[in-house]
Amino acid sequence: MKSPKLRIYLPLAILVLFGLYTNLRIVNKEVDRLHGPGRFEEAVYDARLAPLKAMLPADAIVGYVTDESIETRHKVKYFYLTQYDLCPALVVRGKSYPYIIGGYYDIDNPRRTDAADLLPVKDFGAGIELYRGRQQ
Amino acid sequence: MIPWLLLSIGAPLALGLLLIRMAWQPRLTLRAGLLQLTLACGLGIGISSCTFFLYMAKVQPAGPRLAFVEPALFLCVIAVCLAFGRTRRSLRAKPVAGPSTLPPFPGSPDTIPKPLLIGVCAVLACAVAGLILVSINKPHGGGDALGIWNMRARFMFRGHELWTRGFSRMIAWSHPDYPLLIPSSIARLWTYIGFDTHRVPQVLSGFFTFATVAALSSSLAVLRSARHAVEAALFLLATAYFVRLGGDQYADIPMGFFILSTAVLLTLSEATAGTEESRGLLSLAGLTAGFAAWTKNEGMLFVLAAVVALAATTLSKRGFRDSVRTLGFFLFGLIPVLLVILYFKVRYAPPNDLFGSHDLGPFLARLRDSHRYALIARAFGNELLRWGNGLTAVFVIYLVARGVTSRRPHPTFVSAGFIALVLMFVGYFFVYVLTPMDLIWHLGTSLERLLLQMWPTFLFLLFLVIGPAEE
Repeated sequence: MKSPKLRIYLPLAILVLFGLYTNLRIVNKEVDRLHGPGRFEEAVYDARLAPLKAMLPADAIVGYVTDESIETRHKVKYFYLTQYDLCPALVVRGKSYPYIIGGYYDIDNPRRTDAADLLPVKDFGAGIELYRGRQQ
Repeated sequence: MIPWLLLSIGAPLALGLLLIRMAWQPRLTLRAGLLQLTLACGLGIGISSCTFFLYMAKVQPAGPRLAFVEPALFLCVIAVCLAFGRTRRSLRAKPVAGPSTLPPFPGSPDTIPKPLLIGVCAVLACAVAGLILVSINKPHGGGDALGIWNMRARFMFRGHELWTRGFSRMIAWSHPDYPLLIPSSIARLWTYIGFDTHRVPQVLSGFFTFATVAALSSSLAVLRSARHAVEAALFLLATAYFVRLGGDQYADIPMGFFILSTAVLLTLSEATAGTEESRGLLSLAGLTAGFAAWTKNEGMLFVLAAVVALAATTLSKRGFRDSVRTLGFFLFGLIPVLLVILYFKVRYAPPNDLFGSHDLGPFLARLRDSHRYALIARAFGNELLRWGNGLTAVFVIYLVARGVTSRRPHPTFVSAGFIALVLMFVGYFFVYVLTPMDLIWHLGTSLERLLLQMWPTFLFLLFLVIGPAEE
């Protein structure tokens, strides 16, 4: 590059364009997600858990089961959200507790095989159920 | 709600401003004012997170309300500081015209061309929009924010006498040993306003994201030139992962902010060497280094790296006495925060999942496994090559085209900063060597974030030593 001005300003122009491109990509992706189908509504999930939270004592320790067929990232997110919403109750994966929460991603699928050996206590709708362990 | 919110923000901010004004009184310009305000906010958040944790540990739930205890405590500290004639004198001291010991580059342009200013404003606007949209789509934040930081904040806010359940081994997946700067800050604000809205962690994370940009640019504007400031800020804003992680409310952003603040305060202390200001700035640097360790466990590695780097550089360049004095002032700020961390680790935190095991056999086997070294080296290399999805290439083009000239010799604390970053880099490498977790998974889920913690500080140090673009 012979022109000193060009040598200084070209890399800066590239940097500005790169900055615009990378940030606009985030904006574009998030706008798509905002209006896209199947958007995960965390606020809706929080609302679903509210009646269950009202039923649980603050010092409860409850088990947790979910659909084994769903993707791991959904499984993890649902589990985290359940614990987050039910604080300070402790939510532990597994069934060896007096009460067990079922948190289901596929809310239309009635074949909840993970809960086959559990006694249903209350169905809160929209994929949230409370069970009692058989041994209790 | 609004008065409580103002009180919750105003009281620690006032204390932070007092501390920074006591330590450094530059001629009041926009850039110096912005830098002081940004550092004061960071100090205020760090201090108030410690006081909230101690309040939870010692006072609540039966004790008096936080909204009465904490502002009273901060006002007492401010009053005590002001009662000392020396503090008042230092606040009234003649402003320092500018950093004195960093020799300027001749002809360093201190103006920003209009097109460049427009460009940086456009990138900033897009980054703000991106962060807001990520926050809307993930109101509780990304996986770590939800499962670790915000979760712990909820235990602290909702738990009352059960708040320590947040450190239970039954939720070991949530890393209950992680330090509490972020959870404490969130729970503290929730306690003031009386309810646990997701807006608080969102705003806190947004603050740290753009405060890092503000600290980087304003410090370079004070210590170098407006042009250096804008160009460094552009590189940070062009790092898409930085903006995304800010929206995801990850603690790596605040940790990066505190590492940067430490480097900035150390450099300012060198720029005011030989004055009373220098000692105060060194102590504040120790305080912010402590806050990095109070943010994430990796911060302890930074503290260790910073102390070793400071000791080595001051010893080799200034001699033993100066080295001891420098470390003394740094530790004066650092130790109170380390004591809070120690109290948390001893009293509440379960053992760490990486280094909690006492079985040395697997540990030594991993240390001797050469395949792990090759794998980690390759991962580090790949990450650096594709850093910021192509930003490395832009970075190289920028440096080659503008013609890099470096000021020599480098100021002592700038060398110390580079050494600390290298030590952290090496430290992270060995954390991966020793990790008991699946190595590929561990690298894939954390390496980019760890490098991002160091990125703002690397940009700060680099733009401190490179000369102006030669027009």
